[in-house]
Amino acid sequence: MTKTFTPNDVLRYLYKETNSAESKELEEAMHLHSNLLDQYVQLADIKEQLDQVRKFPSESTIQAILEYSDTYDSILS
Amino acid sequence: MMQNSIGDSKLISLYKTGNEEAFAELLNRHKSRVFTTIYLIVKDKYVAEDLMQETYIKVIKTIKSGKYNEEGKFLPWILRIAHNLAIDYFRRSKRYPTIIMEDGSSVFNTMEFSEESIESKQIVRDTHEKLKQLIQELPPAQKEVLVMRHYMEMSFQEIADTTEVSINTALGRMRYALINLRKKMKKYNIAYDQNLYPQ
Repeated sequence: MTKTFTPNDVLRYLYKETNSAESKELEEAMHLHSNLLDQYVQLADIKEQLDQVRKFPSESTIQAILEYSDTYDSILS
Repeated sequence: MMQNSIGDSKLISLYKTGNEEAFAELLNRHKSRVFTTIYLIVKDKYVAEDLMQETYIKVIKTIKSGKYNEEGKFLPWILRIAHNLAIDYFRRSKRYPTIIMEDGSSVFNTMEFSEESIESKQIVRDTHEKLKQLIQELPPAQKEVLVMRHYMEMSFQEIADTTEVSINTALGRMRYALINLRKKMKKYNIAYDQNLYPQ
């Protein structure tokens, strides 16, 4: 008998928070129930877009941090 | 440059012995995740740059003074510091509102793009900009879970504990946040295409 999965289970699977047994059962369930697969595809689509929204600090900020670390001991002494 | 195969805890051990190259690797490895987390909360690039420095000053002081807890993981720890500083700033700025210029264009000066045509780069830029705007427009509870799970990589259980809700509530908020964003991005992409390529 196939276990019943909720949309929250699909979300936990997407973020790799299901254990291997759960993941396998969920993959089988998605194979059988297209609505579950649709939910997964929709969430995975926006997750992928969010992955691309990454920002980077300026080089001057990075340099300031490195400099602070490098001179930290001399600041104390 | 040190190899990515060296774990964070090994880098911290090296840093404790005075190896500044190890610290540079740690900084480089996590700079985007830390900065993105701060930026999505404070919504201002210049404030985010300041808070990024404050975050790392705390990290440097803690490690160099021997107070770093070896048992915890480095990334969740630094993200928690960054998150707390950003939330503190956000609360202060709400209490004492200041006028901040919306400088969206400069935000992209530091983003990394692959080699593509000018037009496709522009489309990617516009899409990222829209998505960031939509994240800011999410209800606060949904945005909080989204930042914590997606950018800070906290587990749903950790988020539930931190925000004092049940795990199902945390999962539900995240799901609504993702569904909302996807719906709005879909609408935006259709409108954008019609604008670029009118029939």
